[in-house]
Amino acid sequence: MEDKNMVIQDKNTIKLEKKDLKKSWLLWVTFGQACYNYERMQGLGFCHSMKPIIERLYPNDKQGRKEAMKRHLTYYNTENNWGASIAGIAASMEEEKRNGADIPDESINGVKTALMGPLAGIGDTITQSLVKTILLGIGIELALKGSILGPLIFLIGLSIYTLGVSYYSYFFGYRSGKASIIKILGSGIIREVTEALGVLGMMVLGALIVTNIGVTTPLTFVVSDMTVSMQGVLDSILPSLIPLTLFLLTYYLVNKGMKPIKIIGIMFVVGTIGSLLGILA
Amino acid sequence: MLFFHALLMATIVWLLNSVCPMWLKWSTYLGAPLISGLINGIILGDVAYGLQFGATVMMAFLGIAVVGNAVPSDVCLAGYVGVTMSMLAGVDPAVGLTVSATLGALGTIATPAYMTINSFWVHRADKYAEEGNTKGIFYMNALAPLVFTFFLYFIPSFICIYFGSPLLDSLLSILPAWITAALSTVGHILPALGLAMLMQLLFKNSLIPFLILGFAIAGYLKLGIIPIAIIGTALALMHYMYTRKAEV
Repeated sequence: MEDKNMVIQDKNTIKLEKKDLKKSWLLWVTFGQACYNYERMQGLGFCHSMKPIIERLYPNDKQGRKEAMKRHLTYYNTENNWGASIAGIAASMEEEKRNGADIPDESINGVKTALMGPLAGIGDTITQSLVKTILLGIGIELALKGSILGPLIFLIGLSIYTLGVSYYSYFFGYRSGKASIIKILGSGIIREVTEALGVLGMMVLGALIVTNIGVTTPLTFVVSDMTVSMQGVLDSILPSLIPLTLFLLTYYLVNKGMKPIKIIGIMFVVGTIGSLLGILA
Repeated sequence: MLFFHALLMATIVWLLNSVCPMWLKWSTYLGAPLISGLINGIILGDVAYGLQFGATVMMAFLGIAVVGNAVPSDVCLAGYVGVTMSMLAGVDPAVGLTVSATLGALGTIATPAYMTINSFWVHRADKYAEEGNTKGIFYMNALAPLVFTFFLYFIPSFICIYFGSPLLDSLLSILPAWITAALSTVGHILPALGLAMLMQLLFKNSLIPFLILGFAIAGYLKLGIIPIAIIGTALALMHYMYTRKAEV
């Protein structure tokens, strides 16, 4: 809140209460993406999350409410959990604006637009490719062993993560304001942390190649009256050699930019032919 | 029984594509097959089958996070409709995986449809904003999205499960063994795609050693994901501390 000195302190000042902010956070993390659409993505959801803020700041001021609502009905799209910090910043800017700070509409929207991209990038990397992958990896493994804890750990673990991260982000954004978020984004610490988390992600990914790709070969051949299973031979060289090979080939195709639906088509062909010839199972 | 079963599953799919709380949606949508396997297992009175089934189908969808618009199969439809139908048919999980992924691929046409139609409510919300009516924003955002998704998700899901499951059951039972064997092989290959897409997100030359490490620990030492994640955390901390020191 760098504009502190500009806030006119008189009896007309309206301060946001903790419960308004909590309501606003809960609305965001509950309905932020309820009316997802191509035109404005999470725009309506964001406006909805500002409802308690707007109602507190403009209780008997229809014009003020109207302008604030229109301000927040613009195009908006970010990651739900880390992006909650932007809603916190917006709440603090709305509060300052209502209390006399000279903040034009464009500057509130400017902050939202400037931050939504970078925070979506960080949030998607951490939430989607790391937290979700690890929790799912654990969930699948436990479920395969027949433990009901598998789905439950995933369900509860991810819900705690989304609620916790979004709550912390929202209040961090509200308290620290846009300056500190921009500072963090520019400091390189995010890059270091995501790379460190990448270490964990890649290790789990390496393990998932072994546990999740279940292709084997039923091939056998006879060497001097002895039936030898091809799979056994392969396992003695490198366990999960077939899954690894298929994974690397698929990665090559994905990296070349081939459409996933086309790759699925190829997998259908390879799987069917491989199965018919008795090479793969 | 099938009626209520179909009703429950169709309702879940409907809510997940409209107003289900976002914090709960993260796990119930992205983990759809895993969660659905458990629910179906409980309903059908065979939790072990449900867990096995959910986990197997989930493998194919693990890497297929919501990565941009390149999602080849709708996790939610595959998870709740595909898994339910295949479990009702009582097939092998690997065959069910292929059935689910195919259904999910068909389901991807629903996403652009609802994302387009939902704009309608935003324009209504514009009007409420013009009137300074904050309640209107709540109605448009938290209730209105239920309308179109009822026709786009609830009805098709209900029809698929209620009328389609007996059909799928008889179809799968008359299929020759070689086709089910082929479907099961495809099911074993499919998870490679999700993992490859995941690796595209994570990939950095400096991280290759950790991929090898994870592969070797799982392949040779047969350790599970939890111990590997713990070792990974230790290495991640080391990586963070040492690369930071180098910069100072």
